[in-house]
Amino acid sequence: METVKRGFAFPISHRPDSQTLWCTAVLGGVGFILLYPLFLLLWNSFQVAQPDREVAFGLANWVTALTEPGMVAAILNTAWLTLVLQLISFPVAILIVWLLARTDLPGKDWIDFLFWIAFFAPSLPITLGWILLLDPDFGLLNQSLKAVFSLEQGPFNVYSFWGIVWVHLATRSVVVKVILLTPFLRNLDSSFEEASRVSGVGPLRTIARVVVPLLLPAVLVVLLMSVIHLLESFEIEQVLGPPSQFYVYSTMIYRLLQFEPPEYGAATALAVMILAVMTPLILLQQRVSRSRRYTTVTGQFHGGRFPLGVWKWPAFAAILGTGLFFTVLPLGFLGLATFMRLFGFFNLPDPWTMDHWQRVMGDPIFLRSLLNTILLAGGTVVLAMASFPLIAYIAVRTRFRGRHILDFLSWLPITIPGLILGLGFLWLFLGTPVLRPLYGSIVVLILAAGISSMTLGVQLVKTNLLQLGQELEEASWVAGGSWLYTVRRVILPMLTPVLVTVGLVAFISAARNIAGIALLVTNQNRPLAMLQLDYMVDGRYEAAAVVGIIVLLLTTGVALLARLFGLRIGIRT
Amino acid sequence: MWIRFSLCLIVLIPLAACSSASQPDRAPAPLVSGSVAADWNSLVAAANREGKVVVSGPTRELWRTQLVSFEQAYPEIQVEYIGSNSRDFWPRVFREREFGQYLWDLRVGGPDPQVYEARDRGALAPIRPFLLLPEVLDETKWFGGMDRMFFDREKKYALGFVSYISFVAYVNRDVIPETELRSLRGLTNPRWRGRIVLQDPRGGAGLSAIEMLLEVYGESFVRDLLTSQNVVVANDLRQQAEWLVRGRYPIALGIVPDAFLSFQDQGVDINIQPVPEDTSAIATGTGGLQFFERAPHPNAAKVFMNWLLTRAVQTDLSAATRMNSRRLDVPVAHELTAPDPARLERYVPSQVEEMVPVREQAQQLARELLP
Repeated sequence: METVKRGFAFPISHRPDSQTLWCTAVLGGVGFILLYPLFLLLWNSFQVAQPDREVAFGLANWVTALTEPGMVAAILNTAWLTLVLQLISFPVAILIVWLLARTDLPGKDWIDFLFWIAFFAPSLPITLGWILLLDPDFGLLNQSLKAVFSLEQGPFNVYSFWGIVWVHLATRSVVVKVILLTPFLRNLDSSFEEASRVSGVGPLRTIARVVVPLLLPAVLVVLLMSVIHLLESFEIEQVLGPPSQFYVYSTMIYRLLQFEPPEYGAATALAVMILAVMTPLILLQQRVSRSRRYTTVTGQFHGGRFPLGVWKWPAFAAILGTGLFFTVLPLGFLGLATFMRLFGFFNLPDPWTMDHWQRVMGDPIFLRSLLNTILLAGGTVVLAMASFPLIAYIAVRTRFRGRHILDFLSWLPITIPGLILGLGFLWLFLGTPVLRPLYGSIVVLILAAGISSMTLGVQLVKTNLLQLGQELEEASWVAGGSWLYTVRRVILPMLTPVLVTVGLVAFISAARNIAGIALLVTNQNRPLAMLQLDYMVDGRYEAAAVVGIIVLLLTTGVALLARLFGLRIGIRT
Repeated sequence: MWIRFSLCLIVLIPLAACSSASQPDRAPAPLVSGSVAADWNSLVAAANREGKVVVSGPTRELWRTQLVSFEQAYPEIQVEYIGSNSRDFWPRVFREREFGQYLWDLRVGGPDPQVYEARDRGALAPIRPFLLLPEVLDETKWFGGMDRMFFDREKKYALGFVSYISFVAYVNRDVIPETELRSLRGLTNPRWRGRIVLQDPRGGAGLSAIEMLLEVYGESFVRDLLTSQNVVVANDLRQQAEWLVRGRYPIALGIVPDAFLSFQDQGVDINIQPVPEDTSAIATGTGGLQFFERAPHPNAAKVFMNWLLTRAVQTDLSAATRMNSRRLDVPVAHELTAPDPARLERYVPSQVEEMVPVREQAQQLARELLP
């Protein structure tokens, strides 16, 4: 592997002044839209209301946050959960990704798609499905095992640490990594692996010694995102944690927001601490990305496939089984939830019904919500695909002085939990005269949803750009190709797989986003996700699952369309 | 081709989004004068000219459907309804008003402490002067009279049109027979350790339960309950109801009856009863109403308020939500929680402003004692 310091930077324009101007404008825009709400949130975290409601400044919110009962246990739980999940999910995901992207596994393109479907599935019905199977008292699997082996007690308990780990693994942890890492592995020049193979090294050692080091920037990005996501996501812990009193950092933030009145100041303090803890890791990731060269796609790119030989069909069976485990099971739970009178109550006289579908389809606001979701998610995809590559390009390919700051800024949205970020957006749109006229329109939601998926989008494109050799752009430039021509004919085709990934992730996260937009929706712009929330609050999980399936179908349709484009363009092994 | 397609999307989708964007009306409409307001027809005509009323209310679909049915009664007035819980709604309103955005006419929601804060901030207008219809103004039609409809000290800003007994605890009698748990005092019996599930008392119904226990039995009882009984805190009503129904946790504190009644509706055979109480709380839940100062559609809002409090609307709303109306001429929707007018003075009105200090103390205790 080459370890050459990067010395060349392709100019964004032939005129340095123009380049600086454009880059400064992008930095200014991104900085304003991210730092202004963050500043307001921080400012608010130091504001303390006096008994006479006069506002003063102090550290009370921070003290409250840090001394919240159970905080130490929650931090330790979070650290332990994070460690265990990453230790299990990363090796599994890398093995799956390698089989899908680098080998001659039969049907891998469609097996790959199974993971996408799993990614689109909403996590709550799946969590409920696992409760249905693994509840210590009435779980179907536990009851079966008790009956077969004459046990006094079922062997599984979903309301435990390992139950939570299992549900994380079966819902998001592995699937997300597979989806995010696949484009990078596809761009890996097979000559590296061939060299390893010729030297007599086996497949697993090749993965460990060649593939993983080359993927280090991507692995670090995905690792950071997984850790940050675990620090923020609370749905699974919220449902499975209480019986064993297992609380994590994110449930503490959520708890502060549940208070009457919600303690936004203290919750913001906890959120800022996530940023503070993650900052060194983000800087480390930036340093690693800069310190070595990870170019794997050059003019001599060779996208060969690693032959699995006798392992071909066993590997096929294993990977297909895994893909089906991640899709058939959740889809089964989802389907069950929508057609059962009460999810999990099989002993009712007439347990099956179409009522929930009729209820949702007959809801007067359903169609408008569906249209709003299409507009919101479509708009977010456009915003994401137009702006994220630009930010990533400036961060990786230019000599602009502020490029590292821009890169760092792109990490901010993921470090702030959705509900708090939503409050920041509210202040941003209300407090900025130029943005205020947009308040109440769907454009606001598109901007909010776009910002929410910025970290993932920018980092994916950025890491992909690191893999692309600059000689391809240089060749175009030397041959007289303009910057625009080079972008259109050289860079975009090579980035297509990752852009498709970014677009799909932006689509699904916008279609499912609740926390980031809850404070911004109006009657006119409310999407399906808010309708789903209505049903959830109402305790109508079944109707909420119907909405979940509709969003799933919508996203799968878009994914199929995108896949048609993605399969034709770009580098494929 | 793909590039061209993408470019088209980039241009067209934001255009479509902008074209569908609805700009909230910002200029407050002129108020009709006091003498004209007395004339209901004039008020309706003025409301029709405004053409819209912006209402924030509970996120529950049942509430939305019922409240939006105003459009059937007044087809020229469109209801712009946004479901939102108090936690999200009030910070949003406070911030909007700081920036001069007066976008809301009415809030249908419980008189939480944030409602009283809204009044103190000058965000609320009095409701009482704008109740005009004779059937609404008839004192004899309301449980406890008109004064008790208002939860704020001034008796004019925070109206409650629902009234039900808010039982602190329900028990699955198939698991725990009546002979074993006869009163709330029995909750601290070590036998029930690890068998009690409490709706998160850091907000909402769970907080009301702790507030009542604090008011009736005192701090040491609450401390004992929360520290020695290994109480499990649920964050989701459906999950809490399912645990109660299945008997996983046969005692549930701070649960809303509708949460487990829906299991009964679907054919689950359950025997869930409230734990007998010495003193009961009477609540309005989410059935409250607030009117905003500088509402953009004040006349439509006044028509809406009066419409909401009529017998016909209260009957439909009560039947749909199974929350008993304060109107005495509306059939009881849920017998178990229907308050007895003869015992009016014995109930504790848990959501009145005077109870806020107890509520705050209950929250502080829960915060200190629960995991």
